Amino acid sequence: MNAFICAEKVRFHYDNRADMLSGPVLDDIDLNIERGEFVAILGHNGSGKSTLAKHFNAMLLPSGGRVLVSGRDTADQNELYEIRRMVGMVLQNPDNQIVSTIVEEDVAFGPENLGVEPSEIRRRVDEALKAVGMLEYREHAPHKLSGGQKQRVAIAGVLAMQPECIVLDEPTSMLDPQGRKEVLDTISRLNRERGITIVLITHFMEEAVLADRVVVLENGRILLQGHPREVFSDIERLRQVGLDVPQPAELCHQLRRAGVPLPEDVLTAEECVEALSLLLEESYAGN
Amino acid sequence: MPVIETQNLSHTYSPGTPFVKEAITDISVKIEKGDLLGIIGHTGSGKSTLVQHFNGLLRPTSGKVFLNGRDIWEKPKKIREVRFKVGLVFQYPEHQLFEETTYKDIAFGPSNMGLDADEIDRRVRLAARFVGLKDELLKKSPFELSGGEKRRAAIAGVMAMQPDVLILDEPTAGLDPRGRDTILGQISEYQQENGTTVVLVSHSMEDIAKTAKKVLVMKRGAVAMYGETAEVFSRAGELEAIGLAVPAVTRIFMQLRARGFEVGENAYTVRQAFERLLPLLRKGGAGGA
Repeated sequence: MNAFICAEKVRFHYDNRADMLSGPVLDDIDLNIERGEFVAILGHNGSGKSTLAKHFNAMLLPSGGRVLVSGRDTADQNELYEIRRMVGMVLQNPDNQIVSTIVEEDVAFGPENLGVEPSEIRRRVDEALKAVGMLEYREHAPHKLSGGQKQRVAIAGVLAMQPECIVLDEPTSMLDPQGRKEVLDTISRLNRERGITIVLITHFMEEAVLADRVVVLENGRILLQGHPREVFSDIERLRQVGLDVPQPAELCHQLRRAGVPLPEDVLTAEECVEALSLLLEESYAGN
Repeated sequence: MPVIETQNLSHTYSPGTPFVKEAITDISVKIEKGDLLGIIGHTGSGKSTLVQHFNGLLRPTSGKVFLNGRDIWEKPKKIREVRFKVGLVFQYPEHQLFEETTYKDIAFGPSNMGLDADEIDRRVRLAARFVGLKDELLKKSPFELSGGEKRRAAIAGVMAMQPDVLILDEPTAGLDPRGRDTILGQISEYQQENGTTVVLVSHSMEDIAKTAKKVLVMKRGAVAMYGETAEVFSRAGELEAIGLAVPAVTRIFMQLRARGFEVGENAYTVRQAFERLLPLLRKGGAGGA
């Protein structure tokens, strides 16, 4: 068992009556996340995706089953500090994560709490801000930054803890398209260049396309998982659970159902153009 | 006569300070009664500043705003009436819920209008029905509702004032696809049934393409384009130059045309793309339709 994060038969329910009646939020989840992997967890609101994410750094503990992070049980109080250092968390609302009035102080907050040497903190803060492309804003006030910039500062704050994994819970849902792109570019790069394990919770399929593996949750259970190409070809199923299908995939799906021989695994606009061009050429030639 | 008209409208924030910023410049637009208008543009392009002039929340630095032909600032003391006629739903309106029950929260606007109890009750129930909030939820505290329900309760609160113009600033931000489609569907339905003029501010081109009949594109505080939805989306190249992400199907059509295929004008919804492409693909195919 050497996956970085292992969720074994994880069940979770909140301690109030209404939730007990409506069934557990997480129901028997088995999931392994490998070191260096980029996993996207998709699901609509209430599917349990954020609840699952919060189990990965012991913000929540399972009601049944267990979660191991690098072999350490999240229910073990003695491991808490190390688990939280290894697995950093970025949340949905950038405004709820800012603790300081200056960007670099905000980023220094984590390592300061770990008791890191001041000169080492200085080095880590600069390095983290550089990694997210925010070094030139180090003396700015975080509340005056754009949403995308704030999220990048939040990511820098996690990086300064030198984590092995970053869990991001809908980090772009409150951002405009520009901000969304900034954040996604940043996390893809951290995954690719530094081998940081990424768990991205999202309901945007366009974002999940970037991942090595997509896990779709529904009613607290894993409904589908696999390479994005595989998962996104099951359009009917995705639509049933209230997820958005990328427009190119949707278009090809509809054309296929009308008898047009298009491949099943078209994801991006570019792929769609290629596939359509081939058919259109044939169609012209036939005329 | 347009329901809302602006003439040479400009607004500068914090004039005379180091933080001075001209947010919108010399905007003259007319919004016709019964339109379902989408306003798109980058963050900082002036969308929110513009719509906050429509109900007198902001006062023009220069220029004029007319509601049903009357300058809304003619009698500044009467501005309250303008706010009853032009309802504005802010971004993340659920942050503004405050009453003990959802019912009371929705009733807050109509109560301020001095309506009698029966009329208030009728309007609250009608608005709740439009946004799909069940009766039993009305008795609950708004804070017990789910995120999507809270958003809809907040929208119902403005609908219950039965304004002539309903403005929604990013009504789907932060919602999941199901919540987003529900709200957009309800807004379209409300508009069709009541003939209310609706202004939808969004940075989602897909939302605007699906919902709006006309589109106004803002760029650095000015109007870059204004016309029927089909017409604006047909200028996809210009939209991309402004940095607005056109819907993926529009991009597909642009690229197919660039490769010399005669696929007709730009499509901006999957439905349109499907309808245009299918006959072309069937024409020469082996089976042929």
